Amino acid sequence: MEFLWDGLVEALQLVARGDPEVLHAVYVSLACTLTAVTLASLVALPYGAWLGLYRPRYHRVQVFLLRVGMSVPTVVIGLLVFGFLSRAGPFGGADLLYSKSAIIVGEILLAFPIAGSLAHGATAGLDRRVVETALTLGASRPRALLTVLSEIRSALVAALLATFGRCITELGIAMTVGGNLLLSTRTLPSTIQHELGRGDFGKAVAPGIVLLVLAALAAAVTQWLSREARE
Amino acid sequence: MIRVHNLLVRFGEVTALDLPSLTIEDRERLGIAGPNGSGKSTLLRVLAGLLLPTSGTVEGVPRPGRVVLLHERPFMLRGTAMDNVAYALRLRGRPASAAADWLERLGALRLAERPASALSSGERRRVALARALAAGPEVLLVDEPLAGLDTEGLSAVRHALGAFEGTLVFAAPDPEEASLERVVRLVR
Amino acid sequence: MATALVALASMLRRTVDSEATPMSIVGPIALFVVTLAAGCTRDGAPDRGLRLATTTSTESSGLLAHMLPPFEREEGIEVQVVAVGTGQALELGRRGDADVVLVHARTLEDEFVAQEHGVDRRDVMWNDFVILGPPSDPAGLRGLRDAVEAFRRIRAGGHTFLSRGDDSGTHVRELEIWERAGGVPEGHDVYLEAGQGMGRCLVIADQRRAYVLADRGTFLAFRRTLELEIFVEGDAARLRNPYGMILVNPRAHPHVNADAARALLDYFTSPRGQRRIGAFRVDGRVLFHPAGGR
Repeated sequence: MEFLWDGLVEALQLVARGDPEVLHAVYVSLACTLTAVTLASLVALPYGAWLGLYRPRYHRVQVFLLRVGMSVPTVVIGLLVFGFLSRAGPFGGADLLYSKSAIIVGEILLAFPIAGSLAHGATAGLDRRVVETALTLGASRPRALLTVLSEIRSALVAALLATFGRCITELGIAMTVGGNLLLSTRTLPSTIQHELGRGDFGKAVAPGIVLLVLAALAAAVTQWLSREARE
Repeated sequence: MIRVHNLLVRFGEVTALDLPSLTIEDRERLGIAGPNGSGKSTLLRVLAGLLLPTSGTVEGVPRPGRVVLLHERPFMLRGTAMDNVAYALRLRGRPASAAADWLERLGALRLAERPASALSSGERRRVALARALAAGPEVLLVDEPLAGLDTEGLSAVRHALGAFEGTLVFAAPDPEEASLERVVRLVR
Repeated sequence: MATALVALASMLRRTVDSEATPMSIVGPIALFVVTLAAGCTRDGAPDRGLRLATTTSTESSGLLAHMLPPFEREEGIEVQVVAVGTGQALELGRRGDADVVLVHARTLEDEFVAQEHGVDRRDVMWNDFVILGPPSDPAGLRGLRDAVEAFRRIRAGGHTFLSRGDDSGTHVRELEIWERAGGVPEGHDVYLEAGQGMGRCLVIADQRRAYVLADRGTFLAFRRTLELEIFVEGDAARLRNPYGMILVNPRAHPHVNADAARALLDYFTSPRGQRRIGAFRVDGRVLFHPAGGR
C-alpha cells in the first residue's frame, strides 16, 4: 500500500512542479492527437454524414469497412505505417519514421474510421426531410450537407471527443512508429510504458494522472453538450 | 411560364402521376385539386425539383430556391421558430433580424422563442410558411396548407398567401379559395 | 500447463456433445488438476538450478547459448538466464534474486563489490564497441581510430546521434566518451535518447540515419537488415568492453545457490572455458576475447 501511495505522491510532485519530461510528453501527445483528429475529421465527418444521408451505391460496404477500421489494433496500424514509411518501403525517402509525423500518420488512420462511423450513425437515424427542407429553401447541395451537419452538431462533437480520447491514449502507434525517443517522440502513454520498464513507478504515474485529467475533461464536455441538446 | 408535357411519374408498378399537359402563367394563382392519391403532392415535388419524373418534360421552372415547397407536414430544423425563419433568410444573405417580421405576418410572433420541435402541427404550419415566404421565392408551392388550422390560423395563412405576389400553386383535395384564379383537377 | 488446458478442453467438448453424466464432468477436471500439479512441481523450486542475471546484449549475442549447454550437461545444473539492463541485473544481485551476475560496467561492478553485494569479481572476457553510422557518413568519420575524435566531429557538425539512454553498459560507455569529447550534444532533435534495447536502437538509428555506439555482437546479429556501417573500431582505450562475473554474496543472501554459482565462475575462468569463449564466432568473426580470468 505504501508503495502505491509513494508512487502517487511522487507523481503529483512531478506534475505540480512541471517536470520537463512530463510536460514535453503532454506536448507531444496533444500535438500529434489534435493534428491527426483535425485532419481526419475534416474528411471523415462529412464523408460519414454523406454515407448516412444520401445512401449512395455500395454504401453498406463502405460502412462495413469503416467499422472494421474502428476495430483494428493500434499495433497493426503501427505495423502498416512502419511498412510504408520504412526506408525500404514506398515512402521511405521522406524520412518520416520515428518522428512525430509518423505518429500523426498512424493516428489519422486510427481516427478516420471512428469519426466516419460515428458521423454515419448520427445521420443514418436522421429525418431525410432535413435535406429536402434545406434544398427547397434554396440551399445548394454542399450547403444542405452543412445544414445536416449542423443539425447533428452535438452528435458530431461527441464523435470528435470519442476520436480524440481514442487517439491520445493509444500506445501501439506511438511505440511502433514513434520510437519513444526522449523529449522527441515520447507520448504520455509511451512514457508510462517506458518508466514502468525502468521500474520507476512514480514517474510512470505522473503521465497517467495527466491522462486521467484529460479523460475527465472530455467526459465533462460531452456531458455538458448532451444536456444542452436535450433542452 | 411553366410548361408541363406528358408528365409521368411511376414508382415501380404504381403510377403516382399522369399529367398530359399543364401550363402555369407567371404570377398565376393556381389550385390543384383531386382526391388522395391523385398525385397532387407528387406534382408539387416534381415542380420543386425534388423528384425526377419517369418520363415527360417540365420547362420554365426557376432553379431551386426560387421555387419553395411547403410540405403538408413541414419539417422543423433544430432551434426555435425564429431560428428556422432566420435560416431561410441566411440562405438568401438577408439579415436574420427580418425573421421577426415574417413571423408577425403569420401571427406567430409569440412562438418566436419556442423550440420548433415542440410546436403543434398548426403552429408548425404557420412557422414553416413564414420560413418559406422569408426565402423570397418566385414560385410558392403549398401542399394542403390549411389542414388542421384553427380560425386564427386559417385567417393568418390565408392573409399571408393572399399577400404573396409570385406564382402560387395550391394543392388540396377541394381548394375553395377566393384568391385562386383557376383550379386544375387531377384524377387517380 | 498448456497440455493440461488442451486435455481439459477436448474432454469437456466431448462431454458437451454427448450426454453429461456426473463422472464425465469429474473425470476431465480431475485430470486437469493432476496435470497442473505435476507441471507445477516441475517448474517451481529448482533443485540444483542457478539464476544468472546478465544484460540483454550479452544474451542476444548468442554467447550464453554457446557456453551454457556443456556446463549444464556436465554439472547437472540448470541455468536460468535473466537478461535485463545492466542496472537491473545488478539490482537483482543486490536483492538476492540472482545467484551470479555477468555485466560489463566496471565502475558499477566495483561499487557492487565494495558494498559487499557481491564477492570475487573476475575478468571473464571483453568484446568491443563500434561506432556505426549512415553510409553517407556526413560527419566524415571514415578511417578514424580515435573514438573521442569521432564523437567530437559528430557533436561539432550537429549530426544526429542515437543514444541508448537507459543506463546500460553501452550507455555508460557512451557518456564517458562524450565527456572527453566536450559533452553530450544539445537538442533532442539531434541527440536522440531511445531508452530501449540495443537491437531496437539500431533499427531506429538506421531509419533516422543517425550515428550510434553499439556492441559488435548485436550489430552482427542485425547487420543484414541495416544500412548502418562501421566507421570506427579498435580503439583499445575507449571501445573495449570488459565483462565481469560476480558471485552474489552468500553472507548477505544465504539462500543463493553459492555452490552452483562458484561452479559457473570456475567454468568461465578455466582454460577450457576461456578457450571456448574465444571459439565463439559470428559471421566468422570472434566476438568475445578471453580476458584471463583474474
